[in-house]
Amino acid sequence: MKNNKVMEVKNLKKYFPQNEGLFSWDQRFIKAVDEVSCYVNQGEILGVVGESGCGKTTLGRTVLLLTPPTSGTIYFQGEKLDPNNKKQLKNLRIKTSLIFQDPYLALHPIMTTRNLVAEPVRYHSIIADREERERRVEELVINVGLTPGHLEKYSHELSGGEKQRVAIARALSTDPIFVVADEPVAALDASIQAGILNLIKEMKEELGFSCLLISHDLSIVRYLCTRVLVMYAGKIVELAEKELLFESPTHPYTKALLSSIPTPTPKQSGERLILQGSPPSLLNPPSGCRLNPRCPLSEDLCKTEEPELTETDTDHLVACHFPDRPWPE
Amino acid sequence: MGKNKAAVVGGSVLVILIIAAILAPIIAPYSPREMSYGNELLPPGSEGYLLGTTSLAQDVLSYVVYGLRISLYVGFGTLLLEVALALTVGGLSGYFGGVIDELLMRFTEIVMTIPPIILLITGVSMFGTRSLEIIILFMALVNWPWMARVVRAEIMSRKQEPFIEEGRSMGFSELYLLVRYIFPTVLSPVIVLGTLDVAWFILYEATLSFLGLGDPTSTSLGILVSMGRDVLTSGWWVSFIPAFLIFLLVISLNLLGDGLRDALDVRENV
Repeated sequence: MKNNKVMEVKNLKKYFPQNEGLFSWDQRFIKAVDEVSCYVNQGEILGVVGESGCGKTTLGRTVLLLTPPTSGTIYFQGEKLDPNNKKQLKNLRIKTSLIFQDPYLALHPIMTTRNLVAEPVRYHSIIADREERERRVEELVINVGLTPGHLEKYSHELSGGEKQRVAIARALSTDPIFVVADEPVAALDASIQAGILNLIKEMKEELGFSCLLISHDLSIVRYLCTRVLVMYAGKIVELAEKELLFESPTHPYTKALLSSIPTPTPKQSGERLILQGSPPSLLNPPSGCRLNPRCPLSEDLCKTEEPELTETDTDHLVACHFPDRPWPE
Repeated sequence: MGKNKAAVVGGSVLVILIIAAILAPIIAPYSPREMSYGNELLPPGSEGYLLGTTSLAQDVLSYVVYGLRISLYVGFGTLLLEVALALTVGGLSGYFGGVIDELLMRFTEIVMTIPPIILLITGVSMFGTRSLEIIILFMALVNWPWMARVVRAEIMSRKQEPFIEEGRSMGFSELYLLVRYIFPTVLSPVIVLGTLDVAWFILYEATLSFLGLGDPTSTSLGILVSMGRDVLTSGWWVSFIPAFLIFLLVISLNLLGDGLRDALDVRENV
């Protein structure tokens, strides 16, 4: 069972220290990721959804040790990661990749497509032979839907969609087994988003990597993911199989989130469940359940005691004191 | 628009002067220090001596084309050394920040407080034998702090950009990221600043030579200006022609530098 988990985190915390004034004694922290435990199985796409600022990007970066966790453990292929172990870190960098939100900013501005895609392979001496490497680069560029004509173009000569395809080719050039895709289409035109999403899906099926897909767009998650993790204010509120989550959401936040999905037939869509207020500051989150000031089901217990993430159903974890209560009229 | 034209003119003049310096052995009718007795202080246009002769009967034309070589050698040689120092100090300081930044920047500021011309004159006089290389060394030692500060500021803003983190996620080492990812993007301000600095270096060297602190064995333009000082009334061309060439070099470098600043879109405060 354990061998199937490509990536697993336990009680992961990432706090960013916040410097107050010069004479302030108490150091305050932005609790971007607080006590998060989850795992990604071999070959699956785990979706992470939540509002902006809920800590999903920080989770993706911390899992890849691009920023050291404040506490908690990370397992990659069953092996516990040590941020100070250089050799292990190198292996992690080769076998994992991060696809960025904005391909306009994430690609080296003065490199050609050919160099961008070849660079990681060359740097890590994955393919030593020059000709073989060139072949691999050309193959990859064609696989991500570009033409050999794109090879000699600089990134500023490419369109947004083409850039993201180059970024994906580059991310996949080292044959990673785990990929974090951080809002991979959020910066792109709606008309080309579907093409990029299909590409990720195809490449995943062809190469068999596992993926953590971060998105605020529920329809993307529904389209691509196997399981879905819902985050609110740095915490997991619900984690379930995709079908289960979309058919029977349990946490009030998930319910409200799902009811916000726009549908092609607005008249037939269900009732819109609205949470009053806005997400709390991560500097000073509310006590008890973090949703309690906004939640229509909130009671005194929610204000004092933090709900544990518990299994309500098979593979369905929810952090709520009253998971069975219906939404009030 | 006007600036662009000026830059093209400056660039063209500079290229012509560089070609003249490269072709010096072909252009010069005589060896630069050769004296032909009896032909002292001939005015420009004299037969065989297009730009006249000095009071020592040396051909001015031959002297100045070789003098151009000295000026360009000193100007660009100092630039190379200055850029190397500035990229190292500014690069380490801006990229790693923290204690390294504090130490290097305080050191930089100390160097900046020393009056350049005094350090230059003292430094050059310290050595018994004067060579162009010693002048180059001291000019670079005096001038790198300004460029280092520009490099540092540029790198501090560049290192925040997502493509650096993207490179880090690919597992590239910090040094690799600094050299391959950040340096190429800070080259524009370095080129602009460097072009303007070359003009200063050429002026400095000519000044030192004029004051008798240059390399006495070289055919520096500054030495020729100084030689003509004694015969200014009877042979104005001896001083004027090398001075005019220095002027041409400096103004063409300045026009080019200003034009490049616009073309490469470097912020005005550089």
